[in-house]
Amino acid sequence: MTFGPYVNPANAITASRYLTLPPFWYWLDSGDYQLATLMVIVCGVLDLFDGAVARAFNCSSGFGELLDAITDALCYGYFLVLLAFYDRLPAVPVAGILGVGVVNAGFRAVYARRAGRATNYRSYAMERLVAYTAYLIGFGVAGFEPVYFAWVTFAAMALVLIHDTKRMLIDPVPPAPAAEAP
Amino acid sequence: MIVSHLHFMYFVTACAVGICIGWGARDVYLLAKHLPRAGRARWTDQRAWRDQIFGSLVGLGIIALGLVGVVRYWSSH
Repeated sequence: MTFGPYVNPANAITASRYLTLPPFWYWLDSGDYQLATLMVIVCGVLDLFDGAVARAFNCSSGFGELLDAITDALCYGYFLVLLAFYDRLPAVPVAGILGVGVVNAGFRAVYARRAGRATNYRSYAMERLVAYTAYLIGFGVAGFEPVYFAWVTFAAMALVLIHDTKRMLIDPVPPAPAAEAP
Repeated sequence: MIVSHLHFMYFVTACAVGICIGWGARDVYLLAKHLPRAGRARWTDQRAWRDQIFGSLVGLGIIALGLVGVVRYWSSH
């Protein structure tokens, strides 16, 4: 199946994740935590689907990958800030998690600059912890040991950032795979 | 409210335990696949191999801490 230049079902699914943000805030503010949790789950499920749809319809693109990464950061950042604001999560580890995210994004930009090409440093450990952050948001809304999970997530992210910093800033950048080489 | 608070917390607990079992099985599988000498030899980039092993070990660590969180919650409620 082919699509026109302005139609991309995978990007449409990614963009639809933003629709979960206003009702999340509304239900968090009104104390309806089950419905707020449902919005977090919907946002996470849509994140799983966009990659699968891109592969199924063969409509993967560099823009789509960038949109997905930016949407992850904005949605998770939004959830975390609101949860800290409404005292569902402690503010200090949430600020730490957001800080780690910002520093990590900056280091990835430096890595791409060192590589001299549009590339992303792949960290298996950080990928797991970003998924863990999604569950932390769910646990925060539900009131499921939120202080414990927030500090655990922050400590693990700081540890992995220290490990990845050496890779991104100091170690030699591996050459581009043959398929990507200019 | 969609369901009672107790049933909601059962759901959250099932999600947490399900994540721990699913991710744990995946990380154990990845370690069993890549950690032995033959598994390591398949990687042309040894730094990427170390990152994979480190990622699986971090995964198992946070899974263990996640299960501690589940026990902490139910031991106090």
